[in-house]
Amino acid sequence: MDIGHVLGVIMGILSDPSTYQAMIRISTPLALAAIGGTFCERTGVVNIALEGIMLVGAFAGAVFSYYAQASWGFSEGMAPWVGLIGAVSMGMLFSLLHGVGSIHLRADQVVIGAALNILALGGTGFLTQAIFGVAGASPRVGSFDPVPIPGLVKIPFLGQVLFNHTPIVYMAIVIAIAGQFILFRTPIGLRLRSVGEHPKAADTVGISVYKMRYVGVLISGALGGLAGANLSLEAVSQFSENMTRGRGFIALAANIFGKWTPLGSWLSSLLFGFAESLKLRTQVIDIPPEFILMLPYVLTIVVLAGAMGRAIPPDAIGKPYSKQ
Amino acid sequence: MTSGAKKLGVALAQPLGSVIVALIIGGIVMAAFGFDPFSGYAGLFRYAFLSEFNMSVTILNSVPLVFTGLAVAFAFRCGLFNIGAEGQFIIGGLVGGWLGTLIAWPMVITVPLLLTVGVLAGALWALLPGVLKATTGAHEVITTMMMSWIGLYLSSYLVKNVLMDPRSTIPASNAITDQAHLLTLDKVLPFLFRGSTRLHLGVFLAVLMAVFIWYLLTRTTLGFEVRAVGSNPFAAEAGGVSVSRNTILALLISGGLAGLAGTVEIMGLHYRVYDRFSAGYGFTGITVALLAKNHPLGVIPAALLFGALTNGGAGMQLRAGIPIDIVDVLSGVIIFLVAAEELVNAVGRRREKRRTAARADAALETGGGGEA
Repeated sequence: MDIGHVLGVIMGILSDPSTYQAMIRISTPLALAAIGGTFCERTGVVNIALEGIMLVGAFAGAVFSYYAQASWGFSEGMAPWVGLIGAVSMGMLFSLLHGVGSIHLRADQVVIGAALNILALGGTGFLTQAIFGVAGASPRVGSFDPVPIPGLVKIPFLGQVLFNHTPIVYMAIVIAIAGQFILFRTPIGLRLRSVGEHPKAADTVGISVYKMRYVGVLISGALGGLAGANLSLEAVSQFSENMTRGRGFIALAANIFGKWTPLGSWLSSLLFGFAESLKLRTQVIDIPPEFILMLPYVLTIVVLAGAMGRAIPPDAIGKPYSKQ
Repeated sequence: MTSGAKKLGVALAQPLGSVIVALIIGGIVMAAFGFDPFSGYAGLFRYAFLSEFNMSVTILNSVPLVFTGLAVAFAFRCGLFNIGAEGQFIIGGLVGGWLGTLIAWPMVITVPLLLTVGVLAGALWALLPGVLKATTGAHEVITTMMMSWIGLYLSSYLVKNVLMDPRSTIPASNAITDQAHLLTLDKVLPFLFRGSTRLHLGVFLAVLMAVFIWYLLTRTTLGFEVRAVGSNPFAAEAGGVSVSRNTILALLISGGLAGLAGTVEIMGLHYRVYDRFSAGYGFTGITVALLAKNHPLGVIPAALLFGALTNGGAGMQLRAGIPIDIVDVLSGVIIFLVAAEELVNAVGRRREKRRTAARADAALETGGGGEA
């Protein structure tokens, strides 16, 4: 294969709007989880449990969507919305365990996160088999279809890229912007950040460190759950065992690369989404699939190596606070 | 009770209590989904321990867990969380096994050489996370995890495309040479076994390694420095102990132990490199280390417990139809409870408070000053 041909293929991929549409679509679960991680870590709680929270969200999304249609009488169009609500609430419930372990019990936050990841992996695997009777995956469930935004979708190039997505993709963009505003421009945002920078000082002026940290953890639960729903209630329309495949860790890296800001998290997720969208489209060039599958993980290490030193984490991150 | 025995009792109480509470929670979960926990646990016990064969499978499962448990524990003692032992395990097995298909020198040379290569390969896989942590501060939890996925796909590619045995129907390398085998114990100690066994020399190697790591950590300068960095990096640096040097060193040793686990698994059990030959031993090593409270000798009983749980989990599935994933649920609960030391401390404090209050009451009643 000559260089000219390869370059031609690459140019074709880069000028094709569907590459960027895939980028936005693929980056969505990463961005949601990363923004959740941002809120959580800004309050001083390390959250490596994002992986597990996403997995719980993906599972709950599929189960709720399944039952909504099979037993609760919802239409096929409504079922994924029920799934979404289920995913968010189960994500929050699961993250509450992280809160109790990391905040109240003052355990090592990274270890608690690891425990929850294993618990999520085993728990969702166990429940898949207990509920659906088969190991490995749920049946197909009702899922979200793309909703083109009238008018805007007609804009050449950009319309395809931005305005022809499933509802969760739009939500992610709104959440990134709103999250940025809330965290840096509102009193509640200031309180959240203060307990992550200097909990003692925050405590002295009457801010409840525990309460703020729980808020941060629960936000990561809600957004991680939503991110999971985006995996199971999108194109594949089912839950399968360990379907997050390390995305929670990549999201964590995106949060760091985005310097612990919601918009930064979203933008760095786009970078990962872009790498993965290339992965989908490079089959035309003769690269073994294993190497293409490695790409997001390699990129994560590169990005992390580059981001560090310049990105400064919240000062009290990972340190349990003990009010005496 | 002597104070030493008392200390040991206190140290063991929390891990043991955590295991028991986890088993109870697991039982409740089983019952909640219509499974019979009693026949489940009976199946688990039978498959894990009853009969010589089952016992040997339990021990075989625990051998890699001793190494990976030591790997994770060693890094933890330096304040590092090597969550990517799985990848180092796979790369160790891949490289050691690959060389094992090529070399047929006398066993006394081949076996130690391959084991060393396995250690080096695993260490190499942990080198980049170590260097990044020491130079840029990139968190090892993310980098070792990412290296783990890269290792998984790389070995998958190599097994399918480079090492592949053309006669094999599943992705697997050629068999390693006879000289590369870790001998089974019936060949080494024929008087102990009636028939043949799959138990191999790796069993002894695992125990020796646990003792060696214990010695390294507690009786050498290297171990002292690693622990100093782990308990307080700032104080260590101020005291002239290099944090970055020990960070890299600890991750290299940790990766080496995980790599050794992979090589031993190929040389002692599989005799060829399969695609995805690891049964998640790197990840279970995390649970093993935490349950052992990162004590190298504690890793042995913890590994046996999880060897038994994995083996017995299959029994639960066969006997009572309980999904084997319940073993991961138990692991998660155990780590959570072991990590949440405060749970135990809180109970202790409450008891202490009650005792103090009782003493104060007694003092008031007798009108004496008392110690309260």
